[in-house]
Amino acid sequence: MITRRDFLKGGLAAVSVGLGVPSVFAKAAAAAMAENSAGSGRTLVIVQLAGGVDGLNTVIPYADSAYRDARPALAIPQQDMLVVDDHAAFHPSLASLKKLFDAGKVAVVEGVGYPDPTFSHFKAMDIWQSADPKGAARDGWLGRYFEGLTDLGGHPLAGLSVGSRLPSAFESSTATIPAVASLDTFALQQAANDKSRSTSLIRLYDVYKPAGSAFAALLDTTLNTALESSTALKAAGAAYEPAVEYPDSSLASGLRLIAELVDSGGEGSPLRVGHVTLGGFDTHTQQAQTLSDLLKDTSDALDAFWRDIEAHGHGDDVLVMTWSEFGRRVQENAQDGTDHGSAGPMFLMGNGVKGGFHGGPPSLRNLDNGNLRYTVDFRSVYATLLESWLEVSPEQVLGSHFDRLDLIAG
Amino acid sequence: MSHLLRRAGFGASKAESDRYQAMGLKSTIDELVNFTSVNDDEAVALANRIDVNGGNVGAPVIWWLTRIANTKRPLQEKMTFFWHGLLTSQVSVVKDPAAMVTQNEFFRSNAFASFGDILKGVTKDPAMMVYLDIAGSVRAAPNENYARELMELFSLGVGNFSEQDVREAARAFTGWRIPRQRGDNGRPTLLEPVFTPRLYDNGAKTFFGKTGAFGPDDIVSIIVEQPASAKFITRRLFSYFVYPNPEDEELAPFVDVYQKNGRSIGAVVEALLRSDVFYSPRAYRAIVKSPVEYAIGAIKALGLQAEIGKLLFAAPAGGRRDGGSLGSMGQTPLEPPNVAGWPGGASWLNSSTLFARLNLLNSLTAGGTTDRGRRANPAAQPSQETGTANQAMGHYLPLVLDNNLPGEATQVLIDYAGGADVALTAERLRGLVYLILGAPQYHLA
Repeated sequence: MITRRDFLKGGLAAVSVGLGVPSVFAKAAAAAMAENSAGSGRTLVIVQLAGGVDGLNTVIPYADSAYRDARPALAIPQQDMLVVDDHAAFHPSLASLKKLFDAGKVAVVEGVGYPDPTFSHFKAMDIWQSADPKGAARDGWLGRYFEGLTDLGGHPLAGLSVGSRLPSAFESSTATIPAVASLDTFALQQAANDKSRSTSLIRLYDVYKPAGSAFAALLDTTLNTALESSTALKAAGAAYEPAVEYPDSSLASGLRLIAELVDSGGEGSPLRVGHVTLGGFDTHTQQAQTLSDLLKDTSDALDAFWRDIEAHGHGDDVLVMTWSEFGRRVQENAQDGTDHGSAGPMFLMGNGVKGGFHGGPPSLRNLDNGNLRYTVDFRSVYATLLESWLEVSPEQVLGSHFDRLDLIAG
Repeated sequence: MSHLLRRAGFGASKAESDRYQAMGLKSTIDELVNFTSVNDDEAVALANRIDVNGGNVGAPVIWWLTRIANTKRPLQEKMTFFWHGLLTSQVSVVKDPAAMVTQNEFFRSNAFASFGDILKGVTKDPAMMVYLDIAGSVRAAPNENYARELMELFSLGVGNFSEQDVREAARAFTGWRIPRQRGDNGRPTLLEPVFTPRLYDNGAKTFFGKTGAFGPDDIVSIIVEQPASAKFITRRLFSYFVYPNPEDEELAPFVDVYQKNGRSIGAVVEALLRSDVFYSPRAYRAIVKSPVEYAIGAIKALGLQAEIGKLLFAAPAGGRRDGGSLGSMGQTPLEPPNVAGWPGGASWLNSSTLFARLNLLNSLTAGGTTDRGRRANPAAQPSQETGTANQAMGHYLPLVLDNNLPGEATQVLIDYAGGADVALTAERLRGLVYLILGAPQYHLA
């Protein structure tokens, strides 16, 4: 039996002398796959659109004149918007996403929010990531999901966050999920002709066990996770040929990294949840250009990712979900921007989703202090994906029952 | 003493450490807190070789890091960082590096002022006014951004104010705009703020139960009168200097010091540094070092502080937008991730940032490539006053690990060296210094 630590040392030593994919890694990965029986073999890719996306200019309720009344400067001109049906249109920057929508591969859940919304970015992000509007949970909903998987010591890349900071959704007291900023730099630099420096370093972390330190175990497991996942990512990257040219954006390169991992498992993807973030949506001033650029980035990156995923034959096993901590105020402000608001739309993408609109469009006329009233609790979306996509008990992850939505095909 | 120098500064070089040791703890604290009486011309001159007005986004970062690494007033720089991390602005949003330097100098010269004066000052700071949209906010439609963050993140915390308070306070922050002008370097720079009475809401506002034609200073004054604000700022200082998340009872004596000294920040910090709890076991190695603390501490231990720009950015004065090594470690100064600043604590440590920390040490000690593939300065090597493993450990263990390494870990180092008394090759010496700095303890302040 290959232990976690043997695997780590074998992998590290092999990389330092440049042998490529070491057989010890392949065996350990195979063993991990066999043990990793919980969950579905499917991948959930989460795209965080940070800052609070202006939902009303993303999925535009153009048929209601209240929209234009509230947005004298910022309303998207009718001739520019991408009309979907008689109630809503997409922002002009979402052309590539609209094509996928028309092909039935995109679901839009409208009016997603939760009771007593907060207007603080940080509180709101906490709420979405902990799935606890009271803010009492200490860990993230994805952290709790990973804690429930049977084999935490298995494949090092069952979860992956792209970016130098780990989103709090992954926080967990027992499961460590790697955060990768860029593949080029994601490795421990070795001393030339001196393998013993790295093995000595690992020993120093191994033997560091001071009583009462909150950080000793964290340091040791973080180093282990980093070394294991760096080895696995290198192997995945070396074997991968993207089928499309990705746009030159941070979101696109993050999604590309996730595509590599999805494809790295042979029989099935080792990756259960990938997370990537695009920020900048906090459009208090001069919103039109900023939002247009960001939505184009989002749409084009998702489109490239999806074509790549399908070309590699994983279209049935990957589902993308976008979220943002809140929508924005219905009434625009005096600086051609919008202030923090409440409910907003979520996008789901994949062969496995039931395309079209879900939830319900929030009313523009029955507002709560100038803000939309939500029609769907975000935890219903989580619960649906946990149950019907990742095939685990939503109640165990979310702590209580939430109504399911009809989002997943079949 | 090393604990004090980590918390009240950014670690110490061998020479600084020897000097403070000779002075003793009490005199050291006296000097640290009375920083205005310490001559710091040398560090200022070294930093001022860098042209911060050239429009280069990275230049102010190197300017500041040069000051931090070379200053004789470490506590003043540590407080400047405290204020930057609390009363945040991002240079990428402000889009005027020189304005960020102005803000930085404000934090430096008011490091120990009263909380009210600091908040009033930062409310009028051009970089802040742009960052949180005071600039451009008008009576007809007040922008709530600053009003909200002022209370939520800067002074009171969630739950200690109402949405009504936000809307009312926002009215007081109206009437200002800041023109931009293309400077000599071709980049737009911020001009002096302009106040237009007609765009200012001079009407009565009801704020925390008081009603009056409040202006910006009145709003701040009412905020700092709230007991929640005294607890908020004292808790932040305690968590920054001692350990995170103190209980209310542990905090109480310092809230008392704050209230009895005209809400003086300096009085609280001095009381913290002289307190028993500061030197208690619970405080020891209880804080995860920020990337700036981690990097500067290592550079000072290696005696390379004069070359900090080259070492962290592979560029002596230009700097890089991505923050160089510090960016990979998760902390580009002047570019916090968002208005809440860096969350700190365990969030500093993940797979990526841990690699970046260790790879910085590799480039500092082995002269290897930096994290982004550029050559590090080949002169960046540990000093050669050490012959055997014992001698090297005698030099570096007191300096960076408080001479407090468990036997098992010491044995790892000796095994690596091939024996305690074996003469080290230059390569082994570098490897040994890498391991000492790379030790898990060194991540903790």
